[in-house]
Amino acid sequence: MSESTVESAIRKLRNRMWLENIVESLVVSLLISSVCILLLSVLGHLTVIVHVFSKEAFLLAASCVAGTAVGLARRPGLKRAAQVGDRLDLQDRLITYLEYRDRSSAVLSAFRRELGEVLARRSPVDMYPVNFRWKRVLAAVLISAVAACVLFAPSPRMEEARFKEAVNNELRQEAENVAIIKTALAEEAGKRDESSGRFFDERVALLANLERELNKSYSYREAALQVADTLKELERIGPGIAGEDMKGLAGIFEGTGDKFADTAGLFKLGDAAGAARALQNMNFSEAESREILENINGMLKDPERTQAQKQVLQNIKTGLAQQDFNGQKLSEALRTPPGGRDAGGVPEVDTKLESMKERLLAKSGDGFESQRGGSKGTMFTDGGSSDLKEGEITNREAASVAQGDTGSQAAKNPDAVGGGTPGSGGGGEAGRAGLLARSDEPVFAGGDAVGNLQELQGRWQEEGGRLTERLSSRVIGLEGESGGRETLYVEFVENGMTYMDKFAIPPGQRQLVLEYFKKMNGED
Amino acid sequence: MDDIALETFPELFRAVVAEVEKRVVGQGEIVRQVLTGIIAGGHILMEGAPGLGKTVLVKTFAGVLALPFSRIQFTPDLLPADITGTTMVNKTENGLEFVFQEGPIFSSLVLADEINRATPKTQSALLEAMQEGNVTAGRKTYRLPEPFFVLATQNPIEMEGTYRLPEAQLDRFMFKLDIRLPEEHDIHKIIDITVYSTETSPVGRQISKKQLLEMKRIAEQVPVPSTVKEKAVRIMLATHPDRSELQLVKDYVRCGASPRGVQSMITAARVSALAGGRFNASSEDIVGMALPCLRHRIFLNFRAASDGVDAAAIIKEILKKVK
Repeated sequence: MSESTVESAIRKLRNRMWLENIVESLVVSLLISSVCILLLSVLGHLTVIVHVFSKEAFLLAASCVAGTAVGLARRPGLKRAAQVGDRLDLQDRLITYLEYRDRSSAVLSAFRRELGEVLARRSPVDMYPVNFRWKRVLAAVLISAVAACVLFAPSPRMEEARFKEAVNNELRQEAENVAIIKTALAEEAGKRDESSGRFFDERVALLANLERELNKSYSYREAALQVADTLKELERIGPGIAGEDMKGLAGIFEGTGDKFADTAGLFKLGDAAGAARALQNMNFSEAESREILENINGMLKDPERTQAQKQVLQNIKTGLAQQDFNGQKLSEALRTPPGGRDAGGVPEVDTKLESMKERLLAKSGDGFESQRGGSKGTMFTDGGSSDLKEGEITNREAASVAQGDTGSQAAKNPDAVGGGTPGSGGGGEAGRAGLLARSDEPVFAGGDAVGNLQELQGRWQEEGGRLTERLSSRVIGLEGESGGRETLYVEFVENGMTYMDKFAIPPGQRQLVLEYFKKMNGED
Repeated sequence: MDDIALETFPELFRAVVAEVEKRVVGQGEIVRQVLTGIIAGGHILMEGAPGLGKTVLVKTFAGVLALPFSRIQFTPDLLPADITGTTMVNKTENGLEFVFQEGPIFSSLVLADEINRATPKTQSALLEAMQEGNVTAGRKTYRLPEPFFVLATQNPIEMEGTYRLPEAQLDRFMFKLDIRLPEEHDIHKIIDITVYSTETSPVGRQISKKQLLEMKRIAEQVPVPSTVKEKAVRIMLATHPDRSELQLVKDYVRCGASPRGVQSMITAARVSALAGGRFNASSEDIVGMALPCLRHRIFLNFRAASDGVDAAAIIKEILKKVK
């Protein structure tokens, strides 16, 4: 027998052992994963675990991959295969062959000849018994079956988890919307020069972060807060000009006196946000405007100016030509990105995110809705929840809406919209601006007031539970449920099916409700 | 190397055994082990009650192997010079000269009968001869003939007037064989051969001295894989109470086998493999040779004696446990 024949026999035996190792590792991993799956299924009934089935499927797949990998890694060496083969009544011949294959002598020649004769009679590959552990496989199958039964058994925790999964699915759709916006912005960034491209890049990064957060969020409220944070961040990084470009614009205040010294200092520091704050309440006298205009004209002649600086200077110059130009408008001019704010669809981003935040807040069971499934309008006018205490609006200040725990006072005030005796103050009349209070009767703030309501809600969420914007105007109080329904219907007619996105519909009934409203809307 | 000798090794081995068994009945395993020891170049200590054919066995081997044979009957008054030889004064034409007169040890096959009857001093006279194949007398060292085997016998029953072989002396023996009473049918055969026959069974030479040396050289070239060596070492280490995991060893063994025990096992395993028609030593060969190679190298404590535990029982237990 040739040497290759002996080595071939050892290699075949090694491959068979390897296969056995892979199968064994796979069986062990299956057994371990089935136990883990069972534990996860049981745990899913004790605590809320989202995507249990996916996690179990992943666990099973990962175990199979890991088991196979371990099996593949456990490739026996030739020496090991020879040792195993020797145990099959080959009396250490294979290992002797391997260890002495590079040597030669008469005894070794005789040994190889004799080994060939032995292998011709008894092939170790044929004699090797593949040890398949049926019992382990059976145990794994049984445990998996039990785990499946446990998994699909109904329980409140499982229901809650499925509800959260449905929420997550919706949020993922919102994330896809964000991704579309992000892609559009990224494409826009590619078209711009370096300075303005940076403006878009920052927003793209923010939107990417928002997309990630939405994808892994299971709560409308958290998602809405995330959107609000993103909006805030977008606003913070809003200035279209910053850094070195901004420092170069400090010269516009030259000759304007000490009044703008601090602001000019902030420009020199490149502090866009600080400068915006400082400019917020400033007004320019004619002389000051003239001085600034001269400075701008001089600066525009400078060929060293960057495109971004020139754009902003042009913005300011245009603004100065208007009568009511003030610090606020100068600040806005700074915020305008080079190349034009509108060109990149940036306002659309804000609008879309605002709209998204609104939708998410509306679906959220927190805040204005203290009870699941209740309409925020109803809950707000009911005033029956302690959550509404901070949302109460009183008539303490005529021009503003008060917040706090004095809602009861407002409720007693007959001047309040919807206040006083039932039906007396909330009879659908236009109320006094800024007066909104609790009533014993259900009062819905509808009609034009929807916008105010949304603003109120948006601010409330945005500031983390504190109502900061207290201004309210032209709030109409409609008495009773019928008025509420009418208002809601008006809103529905105005907004179409997008109106439905504002409400949290139980996932199980979602399709049914959508069909219903489609028919109502004649969209069928 | 002579390929014919290589291929015919098992036949020659079987032929010698068969020839010896013509005269030594019921001791087939002992005969095979003695021949294995001889081919492996080791010395053999045979222990058995009187009348079991120890001396006959050795004398028969001498005849079958056709080797120079001498017998030394060990007695308490035997002196070392009686074994090794002595320097004598010869009167010649030139005057007196000292001549070394070789003792009976200058033979290829030496039967040291009842070796434990001699004093330790005399026993020690064999040490150099057995280990190095030399004899030193006066200032001169004399080389012993090749091959040189000592086949010693001792009687374990008669302890009166005997001197137990020292550990160093015992370690020089490759094998210690326990000669047991043959089976009943074998005893019938022995009676038939020795009582009813006026003539002893003739035995003829089966292999020449050259063939024996050739067989010895072949055995030295038999490959021993690392797994087999490792097993031999594990067995040897397991005989040591401080290295063994066996409670039996910890309880009863005072001193374990020396590395010579491993050497003996591997050397004997090579011959065993060839005798079995294989050309590589296997773990089975090691296991087969462990008992004769180790039983006289393990020294038991008093507790073993009091509990009736012998070295063979401990070795068998070790062989069961060591993988």
